[in-house]
Amino acid sequence: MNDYLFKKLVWVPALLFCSILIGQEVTISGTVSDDTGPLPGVNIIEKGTTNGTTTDFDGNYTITAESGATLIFSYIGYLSQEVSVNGQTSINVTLAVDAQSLDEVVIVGFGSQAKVDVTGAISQIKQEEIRQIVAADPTNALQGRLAGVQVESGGGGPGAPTNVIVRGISSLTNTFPLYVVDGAVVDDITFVNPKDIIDIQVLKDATSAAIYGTRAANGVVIISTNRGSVNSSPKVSVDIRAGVNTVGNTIDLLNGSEFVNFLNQASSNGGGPGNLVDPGIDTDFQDLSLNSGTIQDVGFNISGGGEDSSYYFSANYYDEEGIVTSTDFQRINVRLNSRFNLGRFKFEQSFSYNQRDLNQNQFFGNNTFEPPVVRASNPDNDGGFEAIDSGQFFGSGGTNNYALAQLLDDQTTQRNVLGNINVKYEILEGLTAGLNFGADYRSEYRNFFNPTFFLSPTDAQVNQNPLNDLTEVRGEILSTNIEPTINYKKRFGKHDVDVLLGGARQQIDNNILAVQVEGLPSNSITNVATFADLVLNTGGGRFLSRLFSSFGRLYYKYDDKYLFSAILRRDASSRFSSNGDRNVGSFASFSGGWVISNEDWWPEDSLFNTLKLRAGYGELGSQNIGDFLFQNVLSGNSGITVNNNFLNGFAVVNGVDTNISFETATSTSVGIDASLLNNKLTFSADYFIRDNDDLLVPVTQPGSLGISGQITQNAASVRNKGFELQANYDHNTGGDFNFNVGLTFATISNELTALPNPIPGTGVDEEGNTANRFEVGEEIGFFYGFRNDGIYRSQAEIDSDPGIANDPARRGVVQPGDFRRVDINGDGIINSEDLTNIGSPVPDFTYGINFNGTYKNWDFGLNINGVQGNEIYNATRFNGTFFLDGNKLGFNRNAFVLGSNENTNIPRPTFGGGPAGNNAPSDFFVENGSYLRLRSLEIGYDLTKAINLPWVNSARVFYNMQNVFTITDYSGYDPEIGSFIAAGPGSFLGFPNPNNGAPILGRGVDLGSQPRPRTFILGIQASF
Amino acid sequence: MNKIEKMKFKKSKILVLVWLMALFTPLSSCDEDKLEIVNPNTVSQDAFFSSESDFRLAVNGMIHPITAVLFWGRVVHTGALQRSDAFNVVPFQQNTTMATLIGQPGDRWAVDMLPQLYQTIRRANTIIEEAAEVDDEVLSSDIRGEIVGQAYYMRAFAHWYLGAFYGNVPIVLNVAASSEDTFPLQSTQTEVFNAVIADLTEAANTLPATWPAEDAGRPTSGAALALRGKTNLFLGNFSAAASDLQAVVNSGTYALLPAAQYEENFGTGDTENNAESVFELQFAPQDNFVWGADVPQTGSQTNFHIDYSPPTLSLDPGHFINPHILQVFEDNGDTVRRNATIAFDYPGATGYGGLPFTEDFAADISSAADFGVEALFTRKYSGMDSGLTRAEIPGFGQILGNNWRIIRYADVLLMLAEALNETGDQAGAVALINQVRERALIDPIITVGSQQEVFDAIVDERIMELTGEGHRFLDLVRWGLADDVMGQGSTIANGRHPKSLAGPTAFFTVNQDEIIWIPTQELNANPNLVQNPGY
Repeated sequence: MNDYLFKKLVWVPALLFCSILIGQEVTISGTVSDDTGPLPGVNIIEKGTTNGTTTDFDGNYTITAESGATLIFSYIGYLSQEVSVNGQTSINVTLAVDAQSLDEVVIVGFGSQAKVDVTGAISQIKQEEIRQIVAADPTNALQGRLAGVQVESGGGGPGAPTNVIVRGISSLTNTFPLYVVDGAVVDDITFVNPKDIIDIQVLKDATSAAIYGTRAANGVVIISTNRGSVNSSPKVSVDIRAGVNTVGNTIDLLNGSEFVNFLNQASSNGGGPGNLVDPGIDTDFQDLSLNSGTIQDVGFNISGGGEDSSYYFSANYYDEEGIVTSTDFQRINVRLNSRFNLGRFKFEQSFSYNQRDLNQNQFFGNNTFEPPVVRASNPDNDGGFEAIDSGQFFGSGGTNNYALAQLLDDQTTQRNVLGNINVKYEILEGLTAGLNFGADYRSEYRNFFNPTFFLSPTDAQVNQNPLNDLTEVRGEILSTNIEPTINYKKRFGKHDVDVLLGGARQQIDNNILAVQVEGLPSNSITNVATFADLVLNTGGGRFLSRLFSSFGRLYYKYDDKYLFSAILRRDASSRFSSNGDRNVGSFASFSGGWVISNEDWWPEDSLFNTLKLRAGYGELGSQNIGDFLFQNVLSGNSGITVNNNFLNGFAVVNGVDTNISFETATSTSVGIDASLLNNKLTFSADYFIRDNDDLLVPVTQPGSLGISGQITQNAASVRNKGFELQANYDHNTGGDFNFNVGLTFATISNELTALPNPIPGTGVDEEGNTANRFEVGEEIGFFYGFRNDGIYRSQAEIDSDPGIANDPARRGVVQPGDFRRVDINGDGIINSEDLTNIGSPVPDFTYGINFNGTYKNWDFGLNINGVQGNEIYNATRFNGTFFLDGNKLGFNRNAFVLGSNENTNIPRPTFGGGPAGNNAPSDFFVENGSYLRLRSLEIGYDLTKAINLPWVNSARVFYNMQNVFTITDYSGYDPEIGSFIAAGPGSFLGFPNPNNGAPILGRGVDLGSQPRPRTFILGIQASF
Repeated sequence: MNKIEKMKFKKSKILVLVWLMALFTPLSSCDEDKLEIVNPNTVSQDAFFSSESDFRLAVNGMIHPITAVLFWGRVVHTGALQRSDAFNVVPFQQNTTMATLIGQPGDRWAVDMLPQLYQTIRRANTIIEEAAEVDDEVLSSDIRGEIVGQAYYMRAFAHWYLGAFYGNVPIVLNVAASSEDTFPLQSTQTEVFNAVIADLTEAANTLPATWPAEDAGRPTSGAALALRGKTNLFLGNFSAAASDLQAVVNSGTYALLPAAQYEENFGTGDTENNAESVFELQFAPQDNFVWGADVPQTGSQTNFHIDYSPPTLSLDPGHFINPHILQVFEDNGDTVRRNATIAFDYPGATGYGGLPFTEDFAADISSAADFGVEALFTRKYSGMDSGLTRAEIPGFGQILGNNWRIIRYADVLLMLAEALNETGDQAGAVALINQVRERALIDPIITVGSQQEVFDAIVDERIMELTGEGHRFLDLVRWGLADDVMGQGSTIANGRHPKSLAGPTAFFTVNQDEIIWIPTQELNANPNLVQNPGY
């Protein structure tokens, strides 16, 4: 150490010490608050010194400073204030919110963080953007607004479930992120009224989500709802919207005579007579099935607050008629939120009640449409409809899905009560104890009534129901969470420390009871009631799981430049065996950041106002499986008959792997956050690699093992890599014209890196052929089938095709008009070895563009989202070309006919694909799934000044359009198919729901998703 | 802050800390036994097998996969049993590729049977292993014999069909405890049949000779001996076969029904479990058709007759009977069994609901004309004997619920005749054949011919007695006659190939079609397996 430095180190503190001794000191105390109440943790520094303190839990502080000093009050998200002491001993300060940085506070789970201090990957959207989406389900608001967050809604039906995928598919069983609403951990947010939401944040990587442990491997979506403001007089706001859903897109189908012509061609091609006579019936079932519907969305809220408390109450009614016949959705929301301070205690409470009534049409889209030669109604038949009679139309059978949609009644009512209370107590300055308690109660009641009907003598199994039947399902889930925490937050000179220790106990208790009866005496009895002797079947069960966790988090910051965070979490789960501690997992994550722009050498006049580098590495555990899957049990459903008497039978039916344990997600990510041009332009860029290992997947076992189906094992691995960019330009000049433009962009590359055996996906036709596949080295759910090189136009082409040179069997069956399969392995034979990758549901990139602006009293907003580089397997083309039943797609008008229509790539009409197997999965069914959609467009006008009444705070009218237009090459109803059977977390309450299924195994396969309506809304918002 | 306030603060601080400790305590490991939650919806294997009634329930559960729709309830009929020359099957997508001998690995109907049979095997193994763990208080020695005997019998039954259909399959004699057990090696058909014999020896020693009425249809010692005899016959152990089958005859438990009641061997209701039945699978009528097994209401208790009903009643386009089968009846003047076996136009012939044949079968007859084949249809197990009309029988035929007679006494007599003939006792063989002919009211064989002549008589007698009951294909393979009858170029059906409706490639291929392919799923899931020859 050189002499000079040594002296300085000794002398500087000594001088400081002396100056304190000699100066005239005063002790100053006071309270720092904002417009919502006292602010804890505000930094107070005596200007020009290192003397400082922070406010306590109640915003109180005490500091000893020179009587002539200036105190600087600073707090993240607020404008700093300087106050001269001037001998005062009591100084109360009210800090004003820094409008620029208000958005910069991020809720990180059990606390919040200044955005500038965040080292993980977190995206955020605000109230204003959420409000522009008119939807039954607030998850729709996430679409296109957050880089790396992909939303796929399963068609356009009202109340249709939504898949949210954060940073790519990372599991073969469950991709759903964890949702946290006001601190309560829940499975989904369908029950939240979008108008109550203040902001939504998505924790995308392990380093940010790790605090939520095993449930966070697919990301965490944190929702905050309104709580009102302190010191504000009661305010009443109303928000009324009404509009219409209109049919945006229809599919070209054959008319009656074209359909008869198709049947005749198919018959002739199969060696049949082909002599059907056109009956002159032409029913447009698509037109009958699709109609405009109305939307109403009416709500109000009351909020206000006193000195130590605030409250928010809201109620809303949402009613939507789908454009598909027999689809309706209603939602009722009530919410009461409050916060209040009581001495050293702080309480935050939320309570919500939600009811959803859903009337579903499970029949629309199945097997395309009814043949147009079926009459729209037939009063002679029980029920009033008819289906095709194969006695009159050879080859064609099947049912009338339009009729079934009218006849069958499928009503679901879901109710949800969510309560959460958060108590904080300040033990010492900076040391806070907290307790969060949440309870989420859900019930579902489903009434599925199938009246008696007669449609046709053909396919009696589906077309005749001589005895009515009724299924009633009741289920309830109670999830409870208790989360005690201790938090210590303190600044020591240049060192900022924030330590959190906590625990969590969660329990999910699920009970289901279902009963099916048959042969009720009348079609007007739609309850099981006392008809016990008609019971055909019962079902249900109880599912109970617990998760006990403890966790710790450290945030450390040095000199506002160097950031570090570490999270440790230990989880113990009831879903795994305690034998060998398989039910216990410990996971750690670390991240660091460097705020380069806070370095002393950073030029004040730099292009960048702020610049931060981030990097993180972390592990997360996951337990995305059902309950009891490691327990060896017997099933009582293996009965037999002996001498015509039914006897019960028990057997171990399903195999289990008692060794299953947590899945792990290991992610590495780097990122950069910057703001430029006086903070007007901000952007974040991220790159990540995430490996999900030991994924729990059902593994097919040899049949010789003697168990049915598969055993869930820790067997697969998936790697996702991606780049994300989020940019925002905020042009707020304070003039007449202000606007904000946001851009999101994300790429994903996805690979299945381990799996014992390839898994076939969802069946796409009657024979159970599958078109997508899960195989090591490929993208998850890539499409797998034959590649076609057009069709054979002549016998000569068949005879000279080297691809079938060694395949006499195929040469014997293919005819002109059949597909020319590509001989991938070049062996001159077309067989299963020529099946190959024919596309992928994983997009190359996704993007979104958001624009919001105001001009004088006008405001406008638009939201565009797009997906590029994915394919869709359009199974409707199978039903609409090869399936024995149902109408056919319009392009079949141009089907190959030898001698008269040879210049086409549409294969010759056949029943079921013909002997050449034209129906087998191939690239004929694969289409480009890219699209760009103007998702919403809103124009508003502020009437406040025009009304100019003292009791009217604000008033605005607006016009909103949803799904304005879509640019796509996709020929189906909608390229945003998700998985047709897009699902909530599995089947609801464990009871099979025909609309739910495997959201991953069926991804990108369009089995007939419902068309998305184009929606026009007129609304008014006012507050008093 | 004055002193008192400070003290208060300290006190409350301590309280808060205690409160927090209390909150955190449950999170520590001492509370983690709360994480051990037992599935309340069903019984764990550890808790089961603790009473006689548990074992009886497990025995029922063991039989379930055999009678389920995925094996004998439907699947075996659509593929494996229709491969014989008796049926000229109308092609219908993948449904008929196996029945017409053009199936390939991956096709339906071979896929479901294999796991079903192994499910019964696993359940039998579980019973055998668990029974060894319990003392006499749970299972007395008599009861133990009944329980374990049924397990050995069903394990043998399942292995028998695995061996007969798939040939080279793993023999599984215990519940898999390690990955070696999970991925077993294949054995040869002979090894499989030898394992079957060992199990049937256990079963024959412990099973009762008869069961009370409420248990009618459960395997008996006679059923075990008969199946053991049949297995020995298939292995060419003719003297062992003769001894087993003779023991069944000597037991005096079984008898042929009179000619007038021959058709009752395929009927339902009171005609089931009759004196001629050595082993029959039990089914009952059912209103609904639901696919699957081990699920309530899944048609595990009925037999689906879709594959035996005439072309225009069947949901698949059905099949026709080849005329050379009819010719055997005509050559022998056998009208009793002919009329019970083949529905066709003879004087007084009836169809469903007692309607005249030509009226009830008009559409089927026209369909036969379209295909250019004779209008000969299956009658056994078609439900025609039930008196129900076509309109009353749904396409799947599930409301009939006939038991399936796996081993009839007539079959035992003919198998015994075959075993005796092969061991040189032609006279003994002819006497047995004549018992069967006598019941059918046809002339006995008067001259005892050569071994070949007696063999030929047995072949014809088995056609007349057993056509449509699932024996013919395996008989042909066993006798080495499958290629002669069903090979390329065979023209036994009035100058046509027996599978002519399915096209020129639908014929029996030697060293391939004797056994079915191992399903692709099975090959994928077990790396130790090798595909059967020719596939």
